[in-house]
Amino acid sequence: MRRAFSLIETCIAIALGSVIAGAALACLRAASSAIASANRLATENSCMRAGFTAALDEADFWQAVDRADDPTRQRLRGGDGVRWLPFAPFSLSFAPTESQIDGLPNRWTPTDPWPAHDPRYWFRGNLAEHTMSTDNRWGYYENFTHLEAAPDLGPGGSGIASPRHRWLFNQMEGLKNALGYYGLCEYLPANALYAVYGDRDSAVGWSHEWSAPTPQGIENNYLSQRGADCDLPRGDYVLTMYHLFALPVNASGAAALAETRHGLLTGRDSNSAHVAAFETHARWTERTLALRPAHWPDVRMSVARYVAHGRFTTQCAVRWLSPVTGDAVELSFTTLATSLRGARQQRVDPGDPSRDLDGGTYQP
Amino acid sequence: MVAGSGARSGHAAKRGFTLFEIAVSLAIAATAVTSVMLVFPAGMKSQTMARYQIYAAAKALELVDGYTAFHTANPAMDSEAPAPWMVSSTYGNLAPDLEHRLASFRFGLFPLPIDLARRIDSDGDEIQRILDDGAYLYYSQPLATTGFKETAVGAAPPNEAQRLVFAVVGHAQQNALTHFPWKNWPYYVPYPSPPAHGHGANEPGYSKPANRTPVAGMPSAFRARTVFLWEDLGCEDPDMRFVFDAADDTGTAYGYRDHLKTHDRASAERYCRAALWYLARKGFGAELDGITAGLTDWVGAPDQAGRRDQVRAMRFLAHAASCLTAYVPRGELDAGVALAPVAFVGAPATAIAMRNVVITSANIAAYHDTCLDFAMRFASRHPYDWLVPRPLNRQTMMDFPLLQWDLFTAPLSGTIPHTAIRAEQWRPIAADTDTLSRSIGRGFQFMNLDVPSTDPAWPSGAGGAPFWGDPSRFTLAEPFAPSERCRQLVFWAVDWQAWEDFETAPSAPVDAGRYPLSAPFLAATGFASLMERFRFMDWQQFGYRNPEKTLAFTNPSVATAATGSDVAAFIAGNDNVAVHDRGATPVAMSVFSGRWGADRNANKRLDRGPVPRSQRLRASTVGRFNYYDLRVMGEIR
Repeated sequence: MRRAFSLIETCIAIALGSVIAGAALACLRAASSAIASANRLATENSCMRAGFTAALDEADFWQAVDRADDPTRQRLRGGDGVRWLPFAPFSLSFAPTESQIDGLPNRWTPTDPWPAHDPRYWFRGNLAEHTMSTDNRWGYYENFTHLEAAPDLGPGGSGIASPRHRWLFNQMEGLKNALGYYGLCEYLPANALYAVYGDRDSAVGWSHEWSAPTPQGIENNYLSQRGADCDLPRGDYVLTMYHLFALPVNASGAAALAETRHGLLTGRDSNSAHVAAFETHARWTERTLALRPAHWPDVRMSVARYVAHGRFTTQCAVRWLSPVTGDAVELSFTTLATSLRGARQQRVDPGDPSRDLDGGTYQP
Repeated sequence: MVAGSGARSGHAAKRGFTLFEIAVSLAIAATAVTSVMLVFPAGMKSQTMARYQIYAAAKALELVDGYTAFHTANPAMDSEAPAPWMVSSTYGNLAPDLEHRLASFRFGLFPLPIDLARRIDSDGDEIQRILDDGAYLYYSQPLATTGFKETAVGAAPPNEAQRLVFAVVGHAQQNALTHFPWKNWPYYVPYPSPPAHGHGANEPGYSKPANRTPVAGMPSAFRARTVFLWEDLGCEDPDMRFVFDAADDTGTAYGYRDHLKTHDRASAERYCRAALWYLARKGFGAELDGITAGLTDWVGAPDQAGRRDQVRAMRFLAHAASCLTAYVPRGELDAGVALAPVAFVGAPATAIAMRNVVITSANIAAYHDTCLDFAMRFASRHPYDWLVPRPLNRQTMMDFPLLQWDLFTAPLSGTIPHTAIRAEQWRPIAADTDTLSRSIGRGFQFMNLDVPSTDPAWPSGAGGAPFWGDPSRFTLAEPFAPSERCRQLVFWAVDWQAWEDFETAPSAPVDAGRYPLSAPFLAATGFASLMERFRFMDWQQFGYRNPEKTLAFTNPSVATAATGSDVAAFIAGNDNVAVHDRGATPVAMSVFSGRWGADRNANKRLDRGPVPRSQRLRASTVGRFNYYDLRVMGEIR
């Protein structure tokens, strides 16, 4: 005889079944939500890691600035015959007409360590001499060192001089013209003093481009940023204390030539507009995952390189937008990175496949 | 009954589950489901931790990058005094280890308020043990350490990386002295140049009447200042006073000061004659007759003092002779300018008789070359002879003195200026203490005081014991194992910004050595005047002040402000005009100490988290990074 379930049994069975079904549903929902969140987090992490890696890769190899294998993405290799961009090979950009000065090769020698004890590298100008409003009461040190072989010092300096030491100033001027200000700071030794005698306007006194405003009062397109009150030769700390020198990454041609010879205010007297100008000038930004699925975060990697307060900085940022909330999150950091000199040594001179851009032996 | 019993028995074999069995099976099922559910948060936690590990890696990279690349300059600050406790630079604020270097408003390492740090649990209670040892727990600024003026950068976007806190673990280390407080060597001057001089106010060093030589009409940077010869006392050579400023028995002025003011051909020639007098006084000069190429070795075989003389003599002669190029026509100078001997009122006799000297253009160029050669040669050969200023033309890291404190000899002692507070500091030792102790001279800022000073008014505190420590305890140049220099950065993740008081909690204690304190000077009327004398310059002084300075609140009313309210007007920032933390007023000292908290997420709003301060939070260990901690200052380019 088979009896039916009693009412109480049925009730208990229904209750138990409900518990099981409820638990299973809750579990399913929680599992589904957790899996979705974990997946989203994992995807975000992966994308962020990709951006982080891309930023470090760019810090190491400078591919966004100059892609070695793609001539269409080599915006910083040209020049106007006098001034050049930072990735122009020295075979083009540092090829002076005088092959020898002071008995030394008048070109960039990649293997030369510029030892401090070597008299070739001693700065011989008058370090107490102002560029502006000087009366030369301490004499004309242009007689000792100068860019030119026979500078005309005019009536005050008694005409044509015959300076004995020209090599250092020509190296400095050559680097400035070949690389722009950022590259110049990087290539000169840490204790370099930034001034040379003679420029296109006058053979007497410090070159205005190196140490003083132009007569027209154009600001920020000269190496020394302090104006007439402090127009003395200086090192890279003071030189970049108020204005930094950045590597321009968003310009090409004549605009890039100008920007490589331009200081950007970010120091004491700066404001948000100045920082915005820096961002426009110096920050390279690219989408890390351009062909991503729509539900992946939009990750952008950016890198800016500059020298400020004498510190060479490679500043990276990884920013991503959540596809769900639209919120932006940013990870920004600076990192140890390949120098411009290192980046140039990573690239082959198009005119001589055995040489890198500095003229050293190319080692792929 | 039996059959029936058998039938019932057979039916019983097919019966359903009992309630008990079902309950047991449900319990098993619930356990399984719960276990599976527990796995999901673990997966989330794993992903979250993976994210923090990326943040920590980026932050560690940045810390090491900043540590090696940030400049070490802290100019526009007093670093010399008669006793070490009179200037901040004696203490730890400028030390070369990572924590001291980077714990700065500009370099991105901010101590987490102790109130908050003490509420954080961690594995093995590591954070609390670190705090117990006197160390800080740090958080980082929201954005990368750009080196830009902070207030120009603007509000920071939300930044998860700020949830990272980190600390340095490892052995304590003895750092090198970055500033020798009695004489902050190296001193640099251009070569060639006149005897070194400076300008200043009423520091004790400038108050010695015999040495006070005001010069009116100085150009540019020296305009309206009073100029004083320093090097004669500072470098123990009174003879150079006659190169700086002298007069013959007719009252005619000679020397640098005269040419500075007069600047004509006659004054240039008189300056040259004063420099030639100095050469004769030092016993040489004839060796330079007719030279047209720079000398590349000393004249004769001088000892260390004789080399000093030759470096100075060539520096002055090259400088003076160069002046002729501005006033003597080239043709005439090529042929030579005759300069007669001279005698000065009050000057000692020369070691050799002065002669008529003819100086040509070629001679001047050779003097210039010789001047530089001798200066470089001396700097390399005698690094611990501080009686010859170093050439500005050649600053190198290899000419930075290695100095440290002797931690095992009774310290120097004295009192804080204008107070009765007792102060102590260890005795110094150098890589070559013997040479340094014999050739240290005097400091620029207190040039009327010996080093060490025994002046009753300005004692260096050596008492009757030797001033210098035991040189055998010098360790900076000792070989060491890599492990001795290894320190570890430990990162944890904790949502410390969830606390209700994460912005209103006071800053972690700020070392008093971080206050930009003036060295004592005669015009001071009390300790408060030393606190107020210096202009605080955000763009120059990086190792000073509260690391949270640019975020610190300047007004106690912030504590009662509504959550989310705009507090930009109450953030110290760095606008170069309004300096809130300078001086001895209660408000200034409160801002300096970060007493009213700080805008720690840099969004310029007052934020309060949902977690009450009574609740503790647990930090998860994210990663550990080993690094090399320097004992001396250094930068990588």
